[in-house]
Amino acid sequence: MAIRSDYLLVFPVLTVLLVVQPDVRCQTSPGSLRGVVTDSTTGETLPFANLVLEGTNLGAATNSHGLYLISHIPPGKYRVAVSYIGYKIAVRDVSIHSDRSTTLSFALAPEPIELQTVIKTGERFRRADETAVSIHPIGPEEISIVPSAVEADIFRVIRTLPGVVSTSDVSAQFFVRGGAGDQNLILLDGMTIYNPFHALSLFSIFDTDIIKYAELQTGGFGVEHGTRLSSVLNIVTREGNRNRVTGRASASLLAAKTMVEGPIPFLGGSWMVSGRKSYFDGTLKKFVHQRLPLSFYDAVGSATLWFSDIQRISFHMFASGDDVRNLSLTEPNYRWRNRAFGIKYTQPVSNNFLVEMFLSRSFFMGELESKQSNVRPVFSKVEDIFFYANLLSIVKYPNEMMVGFMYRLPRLRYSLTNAAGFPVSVDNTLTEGAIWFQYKWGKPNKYGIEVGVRTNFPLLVEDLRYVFEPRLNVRYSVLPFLTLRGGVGRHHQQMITVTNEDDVLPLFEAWIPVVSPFDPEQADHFILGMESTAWQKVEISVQGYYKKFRNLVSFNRDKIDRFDPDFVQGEGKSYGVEFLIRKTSERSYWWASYTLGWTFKRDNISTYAPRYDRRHTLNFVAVLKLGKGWEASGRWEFGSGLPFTQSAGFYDRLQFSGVFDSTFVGEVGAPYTVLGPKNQGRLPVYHRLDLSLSKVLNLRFATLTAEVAIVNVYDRRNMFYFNRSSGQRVDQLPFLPTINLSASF
Amino acid sequence: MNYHRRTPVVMVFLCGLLFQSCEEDFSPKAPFEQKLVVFSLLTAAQDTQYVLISRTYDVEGFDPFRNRLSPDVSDAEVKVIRDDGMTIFFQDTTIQLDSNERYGEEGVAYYAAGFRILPRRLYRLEVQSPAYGRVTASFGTPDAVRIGHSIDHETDDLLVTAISRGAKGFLIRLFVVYKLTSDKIAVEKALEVPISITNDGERIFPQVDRLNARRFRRDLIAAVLGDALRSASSGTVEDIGRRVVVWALDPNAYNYYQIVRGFNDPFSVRVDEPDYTNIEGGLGVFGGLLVDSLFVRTQ
Repeated sequence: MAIRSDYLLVFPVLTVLLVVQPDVRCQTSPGSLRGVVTDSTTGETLPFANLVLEGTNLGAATNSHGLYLISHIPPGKYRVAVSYIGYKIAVRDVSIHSDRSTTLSFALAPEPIELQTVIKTGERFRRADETAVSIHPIGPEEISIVPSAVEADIFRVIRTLPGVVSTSDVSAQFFVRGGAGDQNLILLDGMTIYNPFHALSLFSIFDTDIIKYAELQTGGFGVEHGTRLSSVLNIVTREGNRNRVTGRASASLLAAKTMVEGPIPFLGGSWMVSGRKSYFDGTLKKFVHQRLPLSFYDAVGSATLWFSDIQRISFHMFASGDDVRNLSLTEPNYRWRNRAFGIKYTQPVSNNFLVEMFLSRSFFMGELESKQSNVRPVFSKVEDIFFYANLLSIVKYPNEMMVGFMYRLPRLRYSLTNAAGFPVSVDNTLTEGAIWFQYKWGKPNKYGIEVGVRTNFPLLVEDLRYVFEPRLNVRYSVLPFLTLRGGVGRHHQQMITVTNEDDVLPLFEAWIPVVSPFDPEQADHFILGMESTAWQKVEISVQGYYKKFRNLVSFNRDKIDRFDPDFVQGEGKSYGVEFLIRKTSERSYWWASYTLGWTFKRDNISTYAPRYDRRHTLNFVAVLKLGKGWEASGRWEFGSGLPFTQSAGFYDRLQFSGVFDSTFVGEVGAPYTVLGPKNQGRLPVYHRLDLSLSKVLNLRFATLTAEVAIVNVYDRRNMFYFNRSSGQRVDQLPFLPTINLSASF
Repeated sequence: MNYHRRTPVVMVFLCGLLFQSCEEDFSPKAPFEQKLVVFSLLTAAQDTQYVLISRTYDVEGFDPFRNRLSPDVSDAEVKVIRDDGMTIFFQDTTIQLDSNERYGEEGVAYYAAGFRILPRRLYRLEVQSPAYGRVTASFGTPDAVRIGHSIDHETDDLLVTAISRGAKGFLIRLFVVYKLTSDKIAVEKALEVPISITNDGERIFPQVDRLNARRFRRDLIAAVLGDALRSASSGTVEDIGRRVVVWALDPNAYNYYQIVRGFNDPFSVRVDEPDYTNIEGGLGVFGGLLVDSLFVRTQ
């Protein structure tokens, strides 16, 4: 695939046109107001804070970097009020002048939080005028209240959300609304992370201490997100304390970690570094039922420079690694590496434009070193360069227009020894490019409509398949306490992982491109739901979804020889209904989610339920502030049985080795397992109760937190898998008490 | 703390208690259904044909090697019916197994003597076992194999082509035929010509392939002739000629043969090995092989 050099000019030209296009002025020559909202104690920006010009219907919410822009304000004097959950409301007067942009920033003071009160931090990250559907904000509070299984993990919070299925305790892999695991786009500060797991998928690679907020969108994502079919997990890390150096350190039974942040002197900005390193592989024995000589680490760093109140550039880096080093020559070694680096530039332009540009490089490598074992060596590598530019125009609150483009150049390498015993190497460079446009309009607290389109540009890249992705999201408030939401959208994916679905624990999900003659995988989302706040402090959400998959790539089960492709494209569909109820009170916070879902895939042989098709998923999470720094939390999860393929005996299969020289008579066949219909068996139901108790001690020089957690309190034997060849039943986590100590200073 | 504050945690705990005692029976095995397994590749190369009949088996546990009881079926009535109505009945016989590790030294096979398959005919197999039921299968033989050969005048390589309509795969082999004379006794011998030699010196011989043409390199033919000369420590070697042997496989024989060899695909990224059968009601394969040869005397 080659890039047409004569079209490369499109990028800078488009950028310049977007940025310098003349301001659209109305007859009254209005002005605009812009600025940043920060935390007064740390200087951290506050995303999605609400701003209102009192006495008008004008307002805005800050973006993910704390920036806001209110345009088309008639000249005059106004009072601006800023509100943010957990912070004191700030009110300031401002004069707006014709044709001028006024900068006004706010440093909000946190409310004095008593240790025995609940702050539902995830709620901070939800915009009041949000039109997107199926979006789940996750704040540090949500992460901390789900009892940790040795290590706190954002992926364990995600699996409590409606529409999300996890296939085991010992895998952080998750499946959204019938989508496969590779259909989740995982972004860390905008950088794509290809294999976000530690320790054979036991944990995510994201240290929870660095997470400022996250949001999981399980459907109907905006035009700025593409390249994946099922979900977008957007994790935003802390920028660092702009006022003073602070830190945090903690230790669990598995790993120790530390995080330090502080201001950048003279330049005006902040930095943050964080690192985690495992030191005790004995704990893992509880997870994988065998001693695993595994070590892992991860490190995150960021630096943000503010050129002015509203103009900033930030640098992000991420690194993680896992090693399994077996001393025995007959045991294989494993190695995984993730690296990512990104630069983001954000600046308001003119009176009503906000420009964001982002350049990143992501890297993933996984290697299985066979040594003298009978395991075949495997190597997989992804190197990805990504550029993104987005221009947001505030037409008139709450109407917005967004235009942007992205360009991605991933190189995918994969080598293994195949079934015929030949070493194979695959090296592909894929080119992805897309442009998008979105317009959003509505009336605050009444309705909102978001219409957009995303398409790639085959003119730029030869052989690039043309895809067209219309998106529509609608919000309508029927009553002050009842909102209907709906969304439809088309999505495509050109990078996928393909594994044998009969594998229990696929260690290497190698990424491969979907190239000609195959079409990109496609999914159409249809979502309809309602949200109610009829009862005080209780939110109820019900959503139904239907997803139609096309061009899903899977193994060609009819392959005979080298003239037949390894893969074929099939179809799929999933549908279901999700319920979510949240209740907050001063000292308790709980949520319950239930998903009733069906998923089907069809390949060239049959229609079957993929291994993550779970009919019923129920989660219940609660936290209770007991006072004096004590906190108790619990989580209970129930899941109906997952599909698997039953074995139905054996037969001795002949090779016919001597058929061309003498005869096959006398040959003794090798045992071959006869399988039943694909995935028609179901594993037993899954359920598990976790509890934790923590105590926070505020000392003069530091804050200490001690947590005792018990995983699987009633020691339920949840089956992970049944090894067909050995007959060994492998269960998931047993009764497992853990302890975690941390200190903030 | 009032009751309402405790409610959520109590609910979580109650859920746990409620389901604590729920246990289900679970079996990773589907109900075992015994099936007949039939292996037979009828050939035009010999006038005795064989059908091997066994059955599927299950074991207590999951290790198939725990099964030491031969799965061979010895009570079956086996016949092959040609499309012109001719019926060939197979007799059971005892055979010597290549390996005695699992089932001892002897096994059961069914044979029919004086029977070769013919091109462009349909053959239907019927197996009836009082204990294990009935299975059937059928295949059609390809057209008779026609062999062509030529010399690439640029490289002096030998090019061989085979035509057989209805065949899905071919095995095209080339032998150097020579006469070894030692102590005034002449013996005709043949050595197969490889298609390539690896860097490690390993000789790669032709495999079954869907392609119906094969190139044999001149230098490799010469290397094989050199081997013949070296093997004759005393006596003389006379290069007599080249023998081309072509096997044509019907689609069933070809499909099964390739599947059990990991698709014979050096570029595949697959590591799994699916199954193939054309036995209705059972497992295994029933197919046919035609063969023809051509001898080219050395000028």
